[in-house]
Amino acid sequence: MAATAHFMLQFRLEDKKLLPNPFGRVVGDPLEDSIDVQEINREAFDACRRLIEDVKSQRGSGAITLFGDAGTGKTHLLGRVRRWLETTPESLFVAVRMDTSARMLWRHLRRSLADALLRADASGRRAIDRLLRARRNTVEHLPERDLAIVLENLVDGKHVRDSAAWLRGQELPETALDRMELAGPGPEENQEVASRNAVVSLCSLIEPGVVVFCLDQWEALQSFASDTEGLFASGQAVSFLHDPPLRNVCIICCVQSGFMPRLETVLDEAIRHRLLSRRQGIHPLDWDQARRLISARLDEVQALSEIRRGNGNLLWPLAEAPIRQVFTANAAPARRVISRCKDLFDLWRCGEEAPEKTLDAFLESMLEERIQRVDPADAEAAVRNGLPLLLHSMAAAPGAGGGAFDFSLRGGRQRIAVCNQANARSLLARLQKIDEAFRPGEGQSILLLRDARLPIGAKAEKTRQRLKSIEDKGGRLVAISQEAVEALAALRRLLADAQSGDLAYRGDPVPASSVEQWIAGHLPSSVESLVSALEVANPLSPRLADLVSQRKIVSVEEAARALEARSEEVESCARRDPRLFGFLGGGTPAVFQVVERVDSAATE
Amino acid sequence: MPTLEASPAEAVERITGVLKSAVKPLTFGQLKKATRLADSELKSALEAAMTQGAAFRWPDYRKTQYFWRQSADDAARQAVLAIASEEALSSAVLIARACKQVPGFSRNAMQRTVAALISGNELQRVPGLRAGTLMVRPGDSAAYAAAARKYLAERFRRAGFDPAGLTVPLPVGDSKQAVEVAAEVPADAASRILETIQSLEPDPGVPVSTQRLRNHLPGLSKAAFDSAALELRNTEKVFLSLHHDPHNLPQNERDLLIDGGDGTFYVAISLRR
Repeated sequence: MAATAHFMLQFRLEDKKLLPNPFGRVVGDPLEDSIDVQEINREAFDACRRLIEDVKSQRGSGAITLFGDAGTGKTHLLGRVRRWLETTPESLFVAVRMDTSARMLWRHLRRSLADALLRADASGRRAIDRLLRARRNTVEHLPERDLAIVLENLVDGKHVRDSAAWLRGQELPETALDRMELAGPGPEENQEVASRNAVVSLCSLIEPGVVVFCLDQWEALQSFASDTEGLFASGQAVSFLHDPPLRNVCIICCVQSGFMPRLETVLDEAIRHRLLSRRQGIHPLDWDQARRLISARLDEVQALSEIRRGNGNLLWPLAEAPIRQVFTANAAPARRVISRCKDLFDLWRCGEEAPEKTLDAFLESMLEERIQRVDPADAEAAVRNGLPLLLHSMAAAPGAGGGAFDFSLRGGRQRIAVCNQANARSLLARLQKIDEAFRPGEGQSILLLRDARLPIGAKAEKTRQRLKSIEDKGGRLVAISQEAVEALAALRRLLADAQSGDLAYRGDPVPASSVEQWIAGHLPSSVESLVSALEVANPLSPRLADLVSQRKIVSVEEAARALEARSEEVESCARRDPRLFGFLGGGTPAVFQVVERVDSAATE
Repeated sequence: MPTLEASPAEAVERITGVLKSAVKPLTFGQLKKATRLADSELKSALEAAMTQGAAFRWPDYRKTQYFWRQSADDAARQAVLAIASEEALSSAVLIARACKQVPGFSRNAMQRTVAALISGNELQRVPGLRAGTLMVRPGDSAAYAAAARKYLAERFRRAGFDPAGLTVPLPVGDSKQAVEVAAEVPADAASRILETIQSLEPDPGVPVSTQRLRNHLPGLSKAAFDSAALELRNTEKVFLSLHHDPHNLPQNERDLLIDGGDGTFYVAISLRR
C-alpha cells in the first residue's frame, strides 16, 4: 500500500491528465490492433493457423467459422492472424467486412482483395510487390489481358492511380482506358461475373501462397431483418472460393453466436457443410485472463509502465472491485471489461468520469464518426447498399427490381435504377437497357439515381437522347449530392456495426432495431431531398398523428380499427417515427402522443 | 455470340464454374451462352463433367434438358427437409410443395424421396391435428408447434375469442401448467443438458442454439430447462450467449430463449472448459 502511495505521488494531477487512455479503442480492428494477450482464445487462433497450414500443405482450400458473443474478440483474433501471416512468406491477409448486399458481393470481395494487395507493410512494401514480382512471367501469360496489363503497371509503378482503381473494380473514363490500352467495362449484369473472375485469377496467381479471406460481420449482410439474399449469395461465394479450381484459399468467417440459428435456416446443407465443417467458439474472459489483458493495455503507456514495473499489482492504477462488477459467473466479454476500465482510467486520470452521453447523443456522434469521403467511383456501392435501409426506415419495404432495375416500390409501380457509371459507353448501355425494359403502365414510374458529381457530358448526345426517351415515358433522373451519398454509407455502416454487436454503448451492444428506429427519426438533412424524391412518406403517419393528438393514448388495435389499417401497419408506423409517436409494448400494445419535454427550470 | 476455344479441361472448368454460381438448373442454351463454348465442345465437356460428378443432368422439363451442380435427387431431398423444418404438412401437400421447387421432378419420384427420408429417420410421421398424419423432422418440434398454434388460433377465432388469449398465462394452482411451473427442476436436468450439448456439438466450445437444444430435450419443461441452464452458467460449467434484442421477437420465438429472470435472454449455450 505504501509503495503504491509512493508511486501515486510521482503523478501530479496535471501529468496524469496528459496520459493517453490505453482503453480508448473499445471495438477491435484487424488492421490496427497491436496489443494482444496470446493466451486468450489461443485454441481458436491455433485452429485458424492449422487450417492455413493445411490449405498450404494439402493444396486444397478450406473454411472455418468462429462463433462468439458480441465483444468477445472475434475481430481482434483476426488481427492476431494478420500478424502471424506477416511472418509467413507467400501469404495474403484479406480483411472483408460483410456490410454489402447480394448484388454487390463479388465487387466487394474484389475491392477488399485489391486493397490487401495494394496495402504497404511497416517497411513500406506493398503485398503486390512481394507476391507478384517473382511471378512476372506468369502475369505476362495471364489469359485475362486487361488484368495482366494492370498488374504489370502496378508492379512497374506505371499509371498507378488508374491501375489501382481498375484493380479495385472502379470504372475508368475512356481516356484512361485508352491510355492503358484496356477494354471498356461490360454490361452492368456482367460486373459481378467480371469481379468474380478477377478474384479467381488473382488468387490463382498467388498460388502456392495462401490467400486468407477473413469475412467479418456476417450479420451485416442483412439490410433489414427479413433480408436473406445477401446471406445466401455469400454462402455461394464461400462455396466458390472453397472448391476447385481454387486450391489456395482459406476462409475465416466471424459470426455472432446469436446469429447461428439464422445461418442454419437460410443456408442449404451443401453450403453449411463447407462453412461449418471446422468451427470454433470465442469465449468471454475469466478474471485471470481479464487481469492479463488489462495489464497488457496499461503497459502500453510508457510512463505508466516504468512505474508499474516495480509494483506487484498488475492492475495498478485501477482497482479490482469496480472491474469485477461487470463479471457474471466469472465471465465477461472483453469489450465490456475494456469499456469499464476506460471509464475507471478516466476517473483516475482526471478525477472524474467522462460525462455520460444519452443514447441519442451517442448515436449522433457514432454516425458523425462514420461519415467519410466517398469517391464518385464508390458511390454505386454506397447507394445500392444504403438505399434498402433508408427505405425500410421510412416503412417503405423495397422489393427486388428485376432485370435492369435495382429496387421496386409500391408493389412494383415505382422502379429504381442506380446509374452511376463513370464510363460514358457503360452509362449509355445501362440507360439503353433500362429504356428497353421500361414499359410503363398506368401510374408506373421510374427513378434513375446518379451521383451529382458525375454530370452527363455535353457531347454525350446519344446518352442524352436515351435519357430523354426514359423521361418521356415518365422516368426521372435524381442527382444525389455527395453529402447524401456519404450519409447513406455512414447510416449503412452504423446499422452494420449494430447488427454485428460492434456498436457498444456503455460496453454493451446497441440492438439493431434501436438503431433502425433512431435512424427513422434522425435522418441527416442531406438525405431528405432523396427521401422526398422517393416519395416514401408513410401515408398512415399523418392520420395516426391526428388520432393520437385527439386521444393522447390509444391501443394499437383500436387505432387500426379507426384508421382501417392492419395492427402491424399501425405498430410499424408508430415505431418508425419516434418524433411523433411513443409506443408501449406488452399485452395490449398502445401508441401515445409525444409531447416535447418541458424543462423544469424554464417553467420556474 | 462468338465462341471461345478451350482445352477439354478448361471447358469442364468453365462449365463447373458456371453451374456452381447458378442459383437454379440451366438449359443447354443458357450454358452455351454462359460458357461461350461451341455445341460439340459443350456436349463432350458436359459429359466429362457429369462423369466426374461435377455436373448433373436433371429430368427434362417441358422438353428441355437442364443441368446443375447438384443432382435433382439431392435437390429434392433438401427441398423436402427444408419445407418440413418450416411447416408440418400432410404427405400430399409436402410432396406437392417440394415438386414446385424441383422442376421436372415427378410426383412419384418425390414420393420415393419422402419414403427414403422416412426410412432413413430424417423425416417422421406424427399424428395430425384434425385427422391423418403430418410430416416433421425427428426431434424438431418447432414446425409441429407452429401448426398446432395456427390450428388453435383458428378454433379460438371461430369460437369468437381473441387468439391472444392463448398466450395469457393460466392462474397459479388452476392447471397442469401452473403445477409444472411450480414443480422442482428434475435432478438430472443439468446433466441431461450437458450431455445433449456434447452430443450435438462434437467440437468443444462451439455454441448450440437453445432452440436446437430444447428440441432434443422434449421432456424438460421451459421452466426446468431455463433454471438448469442458469445454474450451469452460475457454476461455471457453460457460457450463455446473450440475445441483444429479445423484446423485438414474437412471443413464440422469445419462449425458445433462456429467460435470465432479470430482463436478459440467452440464445445459445456452449461448454466451458
